[in-house]
Amino acid sequence: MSIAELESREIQLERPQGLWSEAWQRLRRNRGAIIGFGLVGTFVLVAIFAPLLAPYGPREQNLSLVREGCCPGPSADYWFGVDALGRDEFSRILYGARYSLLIGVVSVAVGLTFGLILGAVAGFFGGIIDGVIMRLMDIMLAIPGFLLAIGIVAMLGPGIWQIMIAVGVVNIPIFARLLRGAVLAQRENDFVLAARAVGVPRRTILGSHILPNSISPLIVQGTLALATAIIDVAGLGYLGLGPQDPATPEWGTMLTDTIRYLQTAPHLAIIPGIAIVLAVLGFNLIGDGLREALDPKLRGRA
Amino acid sequence: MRTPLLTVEDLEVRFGTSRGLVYAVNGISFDIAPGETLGIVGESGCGKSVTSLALLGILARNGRVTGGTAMFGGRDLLKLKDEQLRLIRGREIAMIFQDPMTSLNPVLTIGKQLREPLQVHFGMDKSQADRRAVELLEQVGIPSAKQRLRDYPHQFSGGMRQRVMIAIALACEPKLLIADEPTTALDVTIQAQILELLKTLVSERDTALMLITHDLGVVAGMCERVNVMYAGMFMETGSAAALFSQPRHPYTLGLLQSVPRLDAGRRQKLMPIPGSPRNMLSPPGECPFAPRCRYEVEQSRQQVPPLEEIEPGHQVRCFNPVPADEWQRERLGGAA
Amino acid sequence: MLRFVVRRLLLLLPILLGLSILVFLWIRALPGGPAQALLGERATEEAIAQIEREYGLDKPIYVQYWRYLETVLQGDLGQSVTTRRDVTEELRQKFPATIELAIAAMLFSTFFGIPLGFFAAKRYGGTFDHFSLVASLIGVSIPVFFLGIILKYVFAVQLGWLPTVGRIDVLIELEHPTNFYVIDAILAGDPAALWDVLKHLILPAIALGSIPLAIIARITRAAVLDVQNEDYVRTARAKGMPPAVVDRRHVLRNAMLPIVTIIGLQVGFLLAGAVLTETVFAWPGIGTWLVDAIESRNYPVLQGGILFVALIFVVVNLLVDVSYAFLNPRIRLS
Repeated sequence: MSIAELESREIQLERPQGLWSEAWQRLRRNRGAIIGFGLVGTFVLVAIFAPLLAPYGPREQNLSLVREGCCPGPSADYWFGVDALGRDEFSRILYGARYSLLIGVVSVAVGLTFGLILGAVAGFFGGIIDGVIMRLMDIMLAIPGFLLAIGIVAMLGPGIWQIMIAVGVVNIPIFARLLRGAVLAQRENDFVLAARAVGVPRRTILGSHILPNSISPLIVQGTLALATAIIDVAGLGYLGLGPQDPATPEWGTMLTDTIRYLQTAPHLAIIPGIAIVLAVLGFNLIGDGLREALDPKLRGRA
Repeated sequence: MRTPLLTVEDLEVRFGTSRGLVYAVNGISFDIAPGETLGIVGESGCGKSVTSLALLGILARNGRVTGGTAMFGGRDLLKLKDEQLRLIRGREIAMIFQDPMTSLNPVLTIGKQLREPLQVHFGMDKSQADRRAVELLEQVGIPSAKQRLRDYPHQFSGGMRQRVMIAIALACEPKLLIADEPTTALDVTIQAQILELLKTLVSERDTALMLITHDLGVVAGMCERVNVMYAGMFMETGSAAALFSQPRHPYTLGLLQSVPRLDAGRRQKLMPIPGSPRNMLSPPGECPFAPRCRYEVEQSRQQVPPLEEIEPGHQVRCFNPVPADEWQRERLGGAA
Repeated sequence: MLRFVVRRLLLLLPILLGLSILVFLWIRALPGGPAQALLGERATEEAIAQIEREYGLDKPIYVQYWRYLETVLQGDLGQSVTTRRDVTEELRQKFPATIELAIAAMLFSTFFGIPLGFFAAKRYGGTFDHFSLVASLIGVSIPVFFLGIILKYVFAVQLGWLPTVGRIDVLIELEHPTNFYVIDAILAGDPAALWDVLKHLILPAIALGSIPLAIIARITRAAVLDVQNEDYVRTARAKGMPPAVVDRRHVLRNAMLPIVTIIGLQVGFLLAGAVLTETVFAWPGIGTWLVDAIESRNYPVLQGGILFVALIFVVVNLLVDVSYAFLNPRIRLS
């Protein structure tokens, strides 16, 4: 206890840095986070430059390769082997990054936006509004996320946009709860009371004071939500609820039906899965690193 | 003076932190005799708590004793292995801590927590231990002791909880009781009661008491001898009477001066000690108090002054000690 | 404590009610309308009109909801479009399979997760700790179905140690009074059957339970680290308590509080994950039932399945809350 007090006293004598630069410093030193950035960076680059990197088109079929049955494994011409319709697995994986990235980002964006609005409103205005919104969120949370997504897809029909919306909606109550908690905690803070005492209108307080301070848990949760979104989307794809065109190179969809070929062509099942794991791992590493870097309890310590 | 129970010499404790080594305790020596009450006074962060934790071998993970000896019952506590120390903890040396709310396990009954040391050290069975536990609770002044055994910590008030802590500490009749800021977390009115209780109990049992605190008032009422600690070292040691009437170290003087007095006039300025405590990330190379000291001389900035006897039984660590009558003059004539 | 439980139960009701409304509206939002949903692909104009009259679909919506609620509460969830059997009947047949799998996965994850987290905390900063953190991170990054596929490939296809699909070898005869195959085998006093059933459980349980294992291990580690620094642990050590007792009675007892909460949260994950795991291992539980229902647009089944799952989820959460209250004397005694 005394050493901690001593250290904190000592730190006050040094020049204070902003929350962000401190956090950035801590993040930079986190080996896991660096690996995470590497993985995610690769993932994003692959998604963007897929057409340049892929030796073949994602839908290009070469049925002569599978005339004798499924399926040739990795070779010099086809680095990751070939699938049941003679398509190059490597190219499909590269293009698949686009789908996972796009779907992941859009769904989290949807969940974040609506969740933010609902949560901020509920937390800030309190009363009946808070009660109604939160009850609704509780009900949504009563169904396990993935099942809720399945339900929504059942309602909307299968397809890429539908799973984006489904996963997005599943994220809404999570962000709403998070933001409401942050807003509630801030609302009673002295600086908010001070602003009100001077007559700053409520929506300005919300926008300029409360929201900026609530950002850190949001960033962490957003990153982790991206990781979960990619997994959920792959899951929905695997169940056949994703892009209905089987030629679409979405990683989860690429895994559907590969069980049949486990004996003869295991690479079809293993490789897309590894791609998913690496992408998700990257986001999880970053999210963890961010959580540690932004932890207010660690402020003022090295 | 009787043969000391515990003799500590040149104790050094360091902590490894991400910002480097913290030199928490830098060579302190003291002893305590049976039945004696020794006070260790100092600001937060001076290393007083660390000292007692080091003696019992319950420092935090990153803490290490890097020097010194602590002779107790013919053995050096600092060299004992954990299994050996364990037999001493709670049995021969017991400790009570600052915050009774967090120092008691919230999911266990008081009875259970009282029985633990009795069962472990004396091998008592449940009914024997319960009987003794009831005795102990009554001795610390908790009514309806038998029923209270089944209660949980959150069902007691702050003062009561500290009484329970005292009961637990005295359960095995230890020879030495270390009380680390026992009243700091309590209301002022309760503080006096707890201190009275402690005083009575230790004198009844002839237990040695090491009282660690930052509160001069607590020390004045309780301790025969006082050691003033700063930056991991003793700055002044002696009898309470001597220190309070004739402090010789500028730090001790400063501490006494900074206490607001009811009998001072309304226009009397408060006299805090200027500056902040020393950065403990480096071993002391000069008098640690020098940067804040009115009496510093050139030598203060060059070496650490040794702890020397300035009068029988009264030691000071200073190159330019305060004149013996300085404090009395200030008190009687009004502060400068 | 009793008041606490009652209060939780009462809070549950609006949620269950809300759920029923949600599912009710959901049925109506399905493509083709509820009549089509009930009839599936055999819907002709007259059939639709007849259903609408029969089910009072021409009445105002709140009347419809009321009737719907009545039927559901009476246990009538409609008929499966594909098999024409009562949904409730099929549910009763299939849910033991899923529950058995979920319990096995839960046992797996807690049995290995808690000690893993505990030892990682004890050896904080050491190689084991780092290894456990890395393993946990990778663990939560692997989709359940992919892990299932990999496990299947390695242990069933390549090594042949364990069976690939189903709950029991087709050649084994076993009575199924409870439809919980493990219990059935025990009741029949048939050790060979029991062993076979367990062999079939292993891979799916591991696949399903790995993510909860990773999460439980991490939470245990964090909780133990936190609790270890608490003052009362210091007091226990200062009293001379042996390290094993300190760990068990002081550290773990208090660390269990957040751990139990997290374990409860994993149930939702297990139910969702079961859907995916069952498809990999052709496990005849609710998961495969629902997946088939999606493909065949078997809406009564979907409705029944989702309601059932949500009900279980909510009930388990209640149980978790109650056990938390039980473990925490501050709540237990209020």
